Amino acid sequence: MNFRATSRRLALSIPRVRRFYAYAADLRARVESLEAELAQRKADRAELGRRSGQPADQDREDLELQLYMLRSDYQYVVRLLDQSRSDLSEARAELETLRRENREVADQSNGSAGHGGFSGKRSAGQQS
Amino acid sequence: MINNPRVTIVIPVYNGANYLAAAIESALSQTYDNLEIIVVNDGSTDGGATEAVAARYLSRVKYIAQENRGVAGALNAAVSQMSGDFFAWLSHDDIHLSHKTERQIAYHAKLGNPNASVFTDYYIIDGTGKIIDEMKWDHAYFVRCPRLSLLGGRINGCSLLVPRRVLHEFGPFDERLRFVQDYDLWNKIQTKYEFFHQPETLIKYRSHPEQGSLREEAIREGDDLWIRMMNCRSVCERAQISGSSKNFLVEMAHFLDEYTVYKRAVGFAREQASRAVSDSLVSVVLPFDDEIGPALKSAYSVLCQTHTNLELIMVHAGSTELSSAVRTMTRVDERVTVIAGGPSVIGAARDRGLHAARGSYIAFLCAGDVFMPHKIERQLTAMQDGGYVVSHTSYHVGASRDRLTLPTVHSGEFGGKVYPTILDECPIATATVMLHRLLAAEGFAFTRHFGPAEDILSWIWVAQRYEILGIDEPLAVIESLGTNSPGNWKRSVKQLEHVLKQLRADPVHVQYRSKIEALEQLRAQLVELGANDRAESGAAAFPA
Repeated sequence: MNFRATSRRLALSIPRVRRFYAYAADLRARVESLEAELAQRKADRAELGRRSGQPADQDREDLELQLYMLRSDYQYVVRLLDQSRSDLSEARAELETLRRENREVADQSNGSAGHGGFSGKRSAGQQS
Repeated sequence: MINNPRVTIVIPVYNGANYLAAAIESALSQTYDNLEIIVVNDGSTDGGATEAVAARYLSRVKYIAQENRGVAGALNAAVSQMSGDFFAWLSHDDIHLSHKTERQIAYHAKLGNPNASVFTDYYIIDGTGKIIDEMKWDHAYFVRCPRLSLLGGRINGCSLLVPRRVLHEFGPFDERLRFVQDYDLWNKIQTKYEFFHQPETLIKYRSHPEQGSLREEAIREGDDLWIRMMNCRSVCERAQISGSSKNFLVEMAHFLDEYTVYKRAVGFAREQASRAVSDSLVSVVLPFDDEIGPALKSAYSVLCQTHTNLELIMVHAGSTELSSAVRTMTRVDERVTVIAGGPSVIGAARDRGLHAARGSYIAFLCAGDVFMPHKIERQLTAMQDGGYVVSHTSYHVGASRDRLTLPTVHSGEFGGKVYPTILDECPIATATVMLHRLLAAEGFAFTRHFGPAEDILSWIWVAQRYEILGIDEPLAVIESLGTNSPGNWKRSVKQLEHVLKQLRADPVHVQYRSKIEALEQLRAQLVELGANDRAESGAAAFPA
């Protein structure tokens, strides 16, 4: 585990996750708007069918195709986003562990310094 | 997108003299003109009969003869030499209808995605070429969940049109596999790209006794493949497909049992489904401030749950040092994690916990509230069984300690598709809510709706998008709800005003005028009640 590498990974993943969120939100909005439009078209078609017995129009099929594509993209991005969130969360946990270890090492070294451990001074018994 | 792209039709054959000519003729009769046809003789041992058939077409097809490497090896040999932008596979005993390539190229162009692969419906023919059935899939099934193309076993390899670049990115076909090399590769491709259903019948698939899919080795490969395909689906992907891991596995077991011979895979799916609830890690997010007593009470109620596969994420939103009691808890029980939230509003603290959560499901708790011991187990089971990604329950109100029986709020009666009902009637208590992690990936966050009623607005956001499971069983005791003091009325009025402001600003919510008017009336009533109460107690009415 390397503090610098973990920090860099963390820094890199945050904007990536944010970008994914923005992209996912945009896709979701487009999926929702297409769903609404499709529902409207279906209702229109039913109405039209009642009046004239016309078959499904090309327009509705195109819309359904768009919805199919968008939903596929959206679901893929959400899966990717979930993976990125997991990576980010793991990197954060690693960073936290490193920080704690770092603090413990610093505490130990401060404590030892008082007893001459890392002070460079030699105790009487160490005198040659 | 390439204009008039080149399509390579690959015909691998092993001892297939009986049907090969019909297959090659069907490829040659395609109405699409930019074609390349490759016939791979995969070491046939029929005394040159297969080669003799292929020899009749040498001026019009590319012919490769090689030592026997199996279907995967034959396909790989062709792919390495193909010049087309798209790959289409034609088994030597199947038939492409004459307009197959033309229609698929047109459909692919309409999709507008260069990495999309396309598959179609198909006829089943017998040894004599007579149509005995038609496999026509319900297109809406794929539009709802595109992933089901492969997991529902709907892809017939010979109906496919795959971009060469996709094949090169994920190929080659695994030559160690003799029977399921195609689905094995499609499964790899589906980690990144999708297979789209074209609702047209464009091939004839021959069903005849010489096919080897019932051999023991084929069944072993198939079992392994389907177990692999189930295993590699993430928790989120399973929820996208079936609402929960358990439902996904139950549906897979049903499909495999009904339509395939892979009984080991069926057993695997059933066994995994039976453990889906106990295997699910649940994260409970508990924000707390400097007052430690209520937080500890809540924390213990989590750690005493009958569902033990959980993590408790305590988000310290206070300003003082962490108390020794909390530090001890993290040492004694490794399921407890404390993260620093800094002094912040509760929504931000909850979001910190949400981001740190590793669980497949996430529940929330407020300091002072407690879970009943079987709360998580009951709620999780109901969500997994029903395929819901969000749920809430009824609860007891624990503020009045002088009563032997705690009053119950039957908020769990509220469930289903509750939008727009929820706009003026949101009985959901946050400490009873459990979410699937899919919601977090889809953008759920409390801080999306900063302000005094962020939880109410969050549940409205959720109700707009998902069906909510209401469980009418009191599974939590909630003390954090206010009593009927004027101060809390004041808070309620403030919350209502914030909700109203947000609803009026939203182009969708604002269409439900009657809901907004009902909330306005409620606000006026609350102000009046508050004024009366203050007047009775001799104090001035609080400003609205």
